[in-house]
Amino acid sequence: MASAKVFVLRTCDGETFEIDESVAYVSETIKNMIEDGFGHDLIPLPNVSSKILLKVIEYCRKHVSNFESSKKTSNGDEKDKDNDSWKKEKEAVPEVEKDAEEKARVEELKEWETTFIDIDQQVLFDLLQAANYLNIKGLLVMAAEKAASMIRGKTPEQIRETFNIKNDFTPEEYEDIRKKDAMNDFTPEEYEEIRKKIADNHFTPEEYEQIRKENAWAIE
Amino acid sequence: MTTLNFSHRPIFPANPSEENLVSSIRIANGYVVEGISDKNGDGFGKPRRFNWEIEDSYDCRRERDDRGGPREPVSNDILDILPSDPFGMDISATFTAITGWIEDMEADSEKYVRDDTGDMKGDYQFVAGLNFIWNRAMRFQAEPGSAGVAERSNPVGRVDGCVEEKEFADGSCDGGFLSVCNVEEFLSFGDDDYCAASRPSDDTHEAAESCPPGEGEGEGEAPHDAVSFALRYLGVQDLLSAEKVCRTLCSAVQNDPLLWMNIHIDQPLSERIIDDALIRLTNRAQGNLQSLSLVECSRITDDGVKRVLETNPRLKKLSVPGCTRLSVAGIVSNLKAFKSSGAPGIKQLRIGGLYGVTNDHYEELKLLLGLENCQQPRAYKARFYHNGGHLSPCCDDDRAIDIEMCPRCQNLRLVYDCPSEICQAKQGASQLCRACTLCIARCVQCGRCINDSEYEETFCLDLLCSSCWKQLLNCPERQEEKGVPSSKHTVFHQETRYHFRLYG
Repeated sequence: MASAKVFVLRTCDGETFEIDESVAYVSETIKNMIEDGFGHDLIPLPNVSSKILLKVIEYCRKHVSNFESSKKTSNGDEKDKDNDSWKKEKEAVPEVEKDAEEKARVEELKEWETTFIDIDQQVLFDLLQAANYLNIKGLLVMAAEKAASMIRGKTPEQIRETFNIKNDFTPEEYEDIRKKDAMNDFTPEEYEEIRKKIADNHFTPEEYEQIRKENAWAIE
Repeated sequence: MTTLNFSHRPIFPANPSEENLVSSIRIANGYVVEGISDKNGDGFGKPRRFNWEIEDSYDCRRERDDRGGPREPVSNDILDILPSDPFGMDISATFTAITGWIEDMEADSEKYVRDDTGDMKGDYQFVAGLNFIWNRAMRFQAEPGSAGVAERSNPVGRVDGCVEEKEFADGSCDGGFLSVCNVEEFLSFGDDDYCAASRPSDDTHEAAESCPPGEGEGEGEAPHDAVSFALRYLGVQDLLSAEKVCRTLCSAVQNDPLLWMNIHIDQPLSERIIDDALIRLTNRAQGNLQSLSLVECSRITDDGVKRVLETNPRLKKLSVPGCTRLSVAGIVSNLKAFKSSGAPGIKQLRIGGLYGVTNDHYEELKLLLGLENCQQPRAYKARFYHNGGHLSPCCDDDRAIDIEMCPRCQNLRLVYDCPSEICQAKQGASQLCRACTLCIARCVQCGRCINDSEYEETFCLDLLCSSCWKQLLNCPERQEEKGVPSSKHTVFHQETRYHFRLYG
């Protein structure tokens, strides 16, 4: 097990957290700070709130304990204690032997992950930012993938709704984007013409958006 | 929507300036009547013929002049203000519809600056617009009360939407797009809000508009900084959607070359993308494009590929399966030019689905790919036929070129191995069950050879071996995908419902 060394992190809202060295080292940023000699006092994290740091620490602890238990079930290579092992485990899953214990561990990890990342949007994004700042690759990948899954398959309007984003394009800008959209396969002149023709059809903005995606640019 | 003001206003100038096109349209009831009766069936090319007056402010609270018709209390609802038929001309079908359209045209042109790239003369558009409107109006008059007119020209057959019930400034939608109320709404003159009645029930979106608001609702805010992290994990289609969300995301998508280093274009974009759009996308990599995968992009031409190669010297992998406008000769010459321009050259090429590959082509391609005169080593993993033969990028292996010489017919095509254990055990090293799909038919699901065994043909003319077919019968959802025909095989499962879907 890791040494008994303990570090203290302080968040932007003044709270302090104590963590083991092994847990602290999951974050490349913190690791670098410690190695540069800043570990004796509090390690300040002005960009991270306590709520988020709690989640981060939860992840780091799980990462460490998972790594420890995988060492026991596998051949025990110590070679990487860093964040890549998180990813490598995922890739290595198909090649894992039918070792019941190992399988169970992986299974449990997946479940834990799913629960862990099932959080509010705001928390997810703050976590994503924190993972980036603290340079915790596995967490960054997990959170970013979750955020991407919330975008995938949606129309722009649906994305705006999901994330409560304001449409701040000017009409000209928006028109320009539509014109140059890769889904739009008409020349600018044809585009103008067709726009007028489609004006005939009394679409609402949502329908227009919907129909654009469904190949409504075809001329009858 | 705006109101109509039936006061006497000066007739619009004979030659409206580009800025004032539609706002100079004036509508007066009396003249409209004349106009219609005189020119029944003709298109009205000259604006001067109509003396129309409309209110050109967006204020919804103007009172009506006493031109006839009842004085309604001031309200936002246009139907309260419109006269039903002040002159007994039965022109409700035409007049109100037309004024509605013209109001919207006016609002649009006043609100939105003319497009930079719009090269239409103001007059032309004005006249064309009016022509367009009058032609519709004439059709309308010919078929009074025909609510179906709008539907006919709707390619998707959904016409029941209407302008949103917001301030008029927001009502016009989508970047200058003309958006008018359904004519049925004008015809109905219902008491309730005319927009509410036929709002589409299929309303997966909220009422929040998708058009640029400018003065809009004030809802929403800038996206969280972290959203741009998620962009790395999105495919091209989703990136294009994200681009349209807001300025921040648009800028992130357009200006980050890391997002565009490996471009994979699949359905539905593959059907629509043309050369110019492809160039625009590949340019986003800012010269760092590493791999380009165009799956069944039937509109991309050899010229498009050439232009991509010209601007992306670092391209290593080019995959164009099923791009029917590309020719092998074109590919060869493009790769030659690419190589001689000093680029390291393409290392992996995928052209399965391109026909007419001759031996000469093949030799040249092998040379260009750095294979020289040797055959590709046989150490590559077996390739199995699945879902039409198009491998997704992650399943692709490392071989330099995907096609090879079919051991049976000696043509240069995609050659498949057989996953069947029987075949693998039987042949062993000789690998007799290895050929192109013309020589050995294969099950589209599992890739097994279908030589003398039983098989079924799906609606899409794919073949399924009997075991895959049985599996399919047990799974109703997948039947839809596979195009199971409804006419046969009711003996198998009488309770199972069969669906098939036409792929457009």
